Amino acid sequence: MAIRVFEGAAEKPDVQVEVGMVGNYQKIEFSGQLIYGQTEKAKQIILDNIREAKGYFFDVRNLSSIDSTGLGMLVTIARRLKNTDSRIAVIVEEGMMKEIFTMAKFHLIFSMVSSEAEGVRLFEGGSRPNLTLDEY
Amino acid sequence: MRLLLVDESWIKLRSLETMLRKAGYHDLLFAQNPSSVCELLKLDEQAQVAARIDLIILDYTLPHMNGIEMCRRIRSHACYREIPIIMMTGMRDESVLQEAFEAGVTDFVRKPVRKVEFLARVRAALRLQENINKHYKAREKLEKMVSEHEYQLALAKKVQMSVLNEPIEQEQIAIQARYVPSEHLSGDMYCWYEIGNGCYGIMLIDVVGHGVSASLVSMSVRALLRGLITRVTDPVHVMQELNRHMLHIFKDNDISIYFTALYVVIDVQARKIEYVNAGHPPGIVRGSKGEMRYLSTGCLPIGLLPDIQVEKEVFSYEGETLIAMFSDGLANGNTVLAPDRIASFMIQRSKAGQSLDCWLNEIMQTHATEEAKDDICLIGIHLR
Repeated sequence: MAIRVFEGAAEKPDVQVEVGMVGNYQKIEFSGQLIYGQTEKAKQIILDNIREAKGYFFDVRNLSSIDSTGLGMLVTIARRLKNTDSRIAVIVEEGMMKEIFTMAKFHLIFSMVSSEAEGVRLFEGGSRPNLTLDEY
Repeated sequence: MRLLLVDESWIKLRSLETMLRKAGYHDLLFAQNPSSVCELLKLDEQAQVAARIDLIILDYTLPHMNGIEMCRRIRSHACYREIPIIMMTGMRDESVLQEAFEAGVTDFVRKPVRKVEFLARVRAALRLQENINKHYKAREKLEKMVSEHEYQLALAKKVQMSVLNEPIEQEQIAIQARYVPSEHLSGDMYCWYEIGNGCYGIMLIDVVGHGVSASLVSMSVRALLRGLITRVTDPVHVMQELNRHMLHIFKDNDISIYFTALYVVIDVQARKIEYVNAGHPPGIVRGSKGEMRYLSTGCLPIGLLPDIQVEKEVFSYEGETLIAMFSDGLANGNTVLAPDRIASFMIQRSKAGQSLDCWLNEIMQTHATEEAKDDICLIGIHLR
């Protein structure tokens, strides 16, 4: 599957991953390119830093591109978390990145929110994501 | 280790020989003049065959040419560009030393020769030669492996290309494809079959990743498609079956192995199209009146989750209708923009009566770059 590079976007050669907390929830923030050849590095950083939390955010707002390997990695991480009874939401803004998630139909497995605040409201409001982690 | 000693003095050669034999070096060759060196090293022969020599110890003073000129002569032969050459000289002139190094001398031994220094320099030069030999052997082995790898990949590519379908050219339907792997092997795969009663099933899949691993998955899926498409009519069931297959085969994997797909079933008698899109770039339909439709209804990519919900769309067509199905390597891999670009092309450029062949060639010329980073697959369907 394709390397999806956004036209006009400044490209960064490598993926960067930062892991932090937003209240009771852990946020995994990606920047650069989450593409073939980069995903193993990102996965290892995440697995080394993942902590027990009530929920997890995958923040892809600073990604310049993502491909099928990158999308697959998000599912792999979600599978690793499936026994924690937690939730996952993807923070993504309107635009091409959201269209990629939608075209690949990943909106059917990840809740899509536009900010941390919206994500927290989603988690604390009791509404369920489209699939629970046990279903991954 | 074989050493070549070059000195015009027979007495000095004997003296060096004694030192070297005592130190354990017994494989020694001797030359007293440049022509003997040329003969021993086969410097005048056209064939690039090296004499097996590991170290040359050369006196500066030789008949007819000096040691520096001799060194240049040796180095001019491709087989001796790397061999260590130690020069023995009593000269103290720095410019001579510089000239000698520039000519390719590896090291010096000052005359009169002192045993400890001489043997130390011989050992160092031979260690260097040993490392050079190891390097060349490793490079040879690597080149052989690369060559074998290239051969195997080329063979695998032939196998992969051989399973691609021939075009269909019938009164009511024509189908053709273009297929460009980004590497030797592709994760893209397509096929089409006549199901019977004027029905045709057309499948395009795009496996996550590139190259060998993606092609292995695509070929394993390809092996199933004929039976599945010709026996199972409903595209929903085809996709569910493929999903079960993928999860069964790759259930113990630590990584997500999946593919996107677009499966279209066309009934040319009833003029009906049904399809399922599994996370794939939407196919595009251009109707006889120029109306456009995106084929995006469907389900998650195949192989991600068990028991996926699969939705299909069914619609009718009238008159001349064109359908484009493509993987996201098209339009420079810009997944989001590719469908709109292809649709726009179909509106502006598709002329009535234009052959499917020309139409696909034009799309490829306009939207497939030579330096494609991803596999490209494009299927064109012309319904009449």
